[in-house]
Amino acid sequence: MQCAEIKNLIPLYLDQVLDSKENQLVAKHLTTCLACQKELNAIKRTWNLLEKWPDIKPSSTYVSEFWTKLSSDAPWYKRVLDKFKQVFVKEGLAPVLVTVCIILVVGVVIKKTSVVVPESEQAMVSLNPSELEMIENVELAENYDIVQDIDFLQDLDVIENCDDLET
Amino acid sequence: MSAIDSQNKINPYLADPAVILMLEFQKGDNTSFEKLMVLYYPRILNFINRFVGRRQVAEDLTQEVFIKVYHSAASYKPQSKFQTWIYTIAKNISLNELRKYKNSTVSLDGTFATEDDELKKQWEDLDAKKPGQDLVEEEVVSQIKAAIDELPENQKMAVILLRYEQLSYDEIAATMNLSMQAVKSLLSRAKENLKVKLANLVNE
Repeated sequence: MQCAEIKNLIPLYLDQVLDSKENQLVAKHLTTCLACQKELNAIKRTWNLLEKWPDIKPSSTYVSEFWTKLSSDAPWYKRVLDKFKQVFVKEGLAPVLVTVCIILVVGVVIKKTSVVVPESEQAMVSLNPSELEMIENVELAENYDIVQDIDFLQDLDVIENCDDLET
Repeated sequence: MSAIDSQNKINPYLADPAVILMLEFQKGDNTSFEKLMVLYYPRILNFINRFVGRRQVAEDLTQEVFIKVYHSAASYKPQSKFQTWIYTIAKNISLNELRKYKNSTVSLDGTFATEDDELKKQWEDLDAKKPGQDLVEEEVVSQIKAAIDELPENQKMAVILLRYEQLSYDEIAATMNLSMQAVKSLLSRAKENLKVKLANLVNE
């Protein structure tokens, strides 16, 4: 194997990711080739040099900052829901919430099923059957009175009999 | 054999402690999520900081990574090591940021601006600048940062993942969605490039 090919393999040789055949070839070549040994040392030293770039440390409040950012990024309804969850689920108030909900539901059901009797119907209960019949036919009775009071209807017979008079 | 045992046999990632934490979080345990943050936040922060080169941006992007992890919990399925999964998210977010940044401010040669002042501003890192720190040491760090930053995007990412995040070649391949052979080729060229760029420091 030529030096150019070996040089391509040296970084991988250092990381021990070559297959056994390639590994043996590079190792054998390095025992006799000074140029490739030099290349290996340069790459190794360069790689070691990179450790001088230090890590940075996150701020001590990164966890709380995360939760703040998360809640401020969320839409309003989600924030309300989260607050709700926090109060009722995290703080163990879920049984209280469930009880309140049950009371509300039962209240609504009772209100809907109870029968409200109108005042007029309550008054009718105290009437006897003949009075009830009169009330049911009150419209008819009113119409009868109106018909009786209209004068022109009484004159109608006269008009109808006009033809008979002429003849 | 119980159903859980057979599932464990099928999915080896269920043995990963971070995957276990993520699954606990999926069931609603926020303390597991905070444990994941403690384990991975510093690593992701450093990975992004080295990749984008700006501390404040790195802080924001790291928060973004964890917000994404948080929102992914409902649909999370352990199909890789947690580390691979979270570095993939961090990689995608960093690449988006870098491309957005380059499109808005940097010349067409595809690298950061080369003016010294601009470079210093971009690499501003308050932690690295301690009072009394040897100026020579600071200059060495500055040259290392510049050398890594000048690498092509893929080489740069592979170097950061290997050298600073201690990912294996397999994990780098999974994170970068590349074949093992492609990662070997990338890292071989990256190491050769760095050797040339940092020759003045190595040969001193």
